[in-house]
Amino acid sequence: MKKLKNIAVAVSLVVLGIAVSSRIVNAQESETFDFARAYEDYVFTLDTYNDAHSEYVLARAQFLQAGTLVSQTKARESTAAMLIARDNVVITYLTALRLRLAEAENVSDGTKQGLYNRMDSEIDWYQNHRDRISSAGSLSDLVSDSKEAESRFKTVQSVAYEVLVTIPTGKVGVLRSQLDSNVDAVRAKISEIRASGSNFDVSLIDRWTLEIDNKIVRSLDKEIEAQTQSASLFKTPGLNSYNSVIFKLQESLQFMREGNDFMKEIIRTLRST
Amino acid sequence: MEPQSVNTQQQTVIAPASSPAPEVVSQTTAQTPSVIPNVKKLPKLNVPQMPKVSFRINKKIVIIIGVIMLLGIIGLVIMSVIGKQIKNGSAPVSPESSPSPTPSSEPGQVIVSPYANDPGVIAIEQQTDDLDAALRNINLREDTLRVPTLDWDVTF
Repeated sequence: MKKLKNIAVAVSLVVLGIAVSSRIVNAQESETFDFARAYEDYVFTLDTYNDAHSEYVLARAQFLQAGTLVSQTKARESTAAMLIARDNVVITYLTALRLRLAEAENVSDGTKQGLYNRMDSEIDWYQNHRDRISSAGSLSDLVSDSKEAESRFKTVQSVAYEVLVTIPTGKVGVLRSQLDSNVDAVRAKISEIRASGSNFDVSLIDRWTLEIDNKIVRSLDKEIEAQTQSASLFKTPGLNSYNSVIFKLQESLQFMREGNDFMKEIIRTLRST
Repeated sequence: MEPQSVNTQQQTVIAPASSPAPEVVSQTTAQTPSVIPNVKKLPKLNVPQMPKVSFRINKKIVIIIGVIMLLGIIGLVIMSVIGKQIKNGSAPVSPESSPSPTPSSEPGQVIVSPYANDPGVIAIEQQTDDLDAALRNINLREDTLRVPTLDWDVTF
C-alpha cells in the first residue's frame, strides 16, 4: 500500500515537472525577440521621442524668452532628454529593420551579413553617442552632440534604404522563379503529351511558352534597371530615389503578371480543347 | 294583308289579294306614278332610316381584331415554351435560331480534352492560381519601416 502511494507521488511529481518545464519553454518562445517585438519597441520609442521633442520645443521657447537660469536648466534637461530619445529611435529603428531583413526571402546570406554589419556599426555608434549625452553639459555641448548625430544619420539613411530596396527585390525574384518553374512544368507536360503519341496538338502551346519566356526576360531587365538605380540611391539616399527603384520593380512585376496570364490561357487550352 | 317588301331605292309592291288583277309592280322612287298607269299610289312608308355604317369598314375591323388575336395566341405559345426552358435551366432559344443541339452521349460530337482532369495539368493550374494571387497582393513598400523623420535642428 505504501509502495503504491510512493509510486503515485512520484508519477504526480513527474507530471508536474513536465508541465512546469513545458510552461517555461512556452514562456521562452513567447519572449523570442522577433521583428514584431522589435517593431513594437520602435513604435514605443518613437512615441517617447515625440513627447520629449514637444517638451524640448516648449523649454527652448521659454528659455529664449525668459533667459533665466531656471529656464536654462530646464532647456538643458529637456534637450538632453530629447537627444537621448532621438538616439533611441535610431537604435530601435535599425534593430527592427535588421530583424525584418532576417525574415526576407531570396536575399543571399552574404548580402544579409554585409547589411547586418553596417547596421550593427550604426547601432553601436548611436548607443555610444546616447551614453555620452549628459544634462550636466552646456547647451552648446548639446548642440554639438546633436550635429554629430545629424551627420551620422546620413550613413543610417544609406543603409536603411539599401535594406528597404533589398527586401522587395528579393520578393520579386521569388515570384519570377515561381513563374519560371511553372513554365518548366508546362514544357514537361508538353513533352509528355508528345511522347505518349497522343493526337492532341501541342505545337501552338509550345510556341506560347516562348511568349512567357519573353515576358520573364523583360521582367528581369526591369529588375536590373532597378538595381542600377539602387546604386545611385546609396550615393544620395532619399525618398525620391527609393520611389524610382520601387517603380522599376513594379514594372518588373507587371511583366510577370502578363506572363502568368499567358500561363492561365495555356492551362485553359490544355483542359478544354 | 300580304307582306310588303320595301326597298329604299326601289319599292316592290304586291297588291292586296282582293284587287281584281293582282300584279307585281316594280316602282322606282324616281319614277312618277303617271309613267306606269296601273300602279296604285301607295302611301309613303315611315320606315326608320338605317344608320349609314359601311360594311366594308366593319369587315376591316373584324380582320384586324382577328389578326391581333392570332398574334396574341402565337405570343402566348412562344412565352410558354420559353418559360418551360427557363424552368428547366436551359437558355431561351429564339425561334429564328437554328435548333439547339441536344446533349448527346455519342463520342466525337462533344470535344473533351483528354487532359481536362490530368493531375499534372491540375497541379500546374493550382500553382498558376497561387502565383496570380501572390502577384496581385504583393506590397513592395515596407511602409511601416520608412526612415523616421526626426528634428535635427537643435539651436539656441
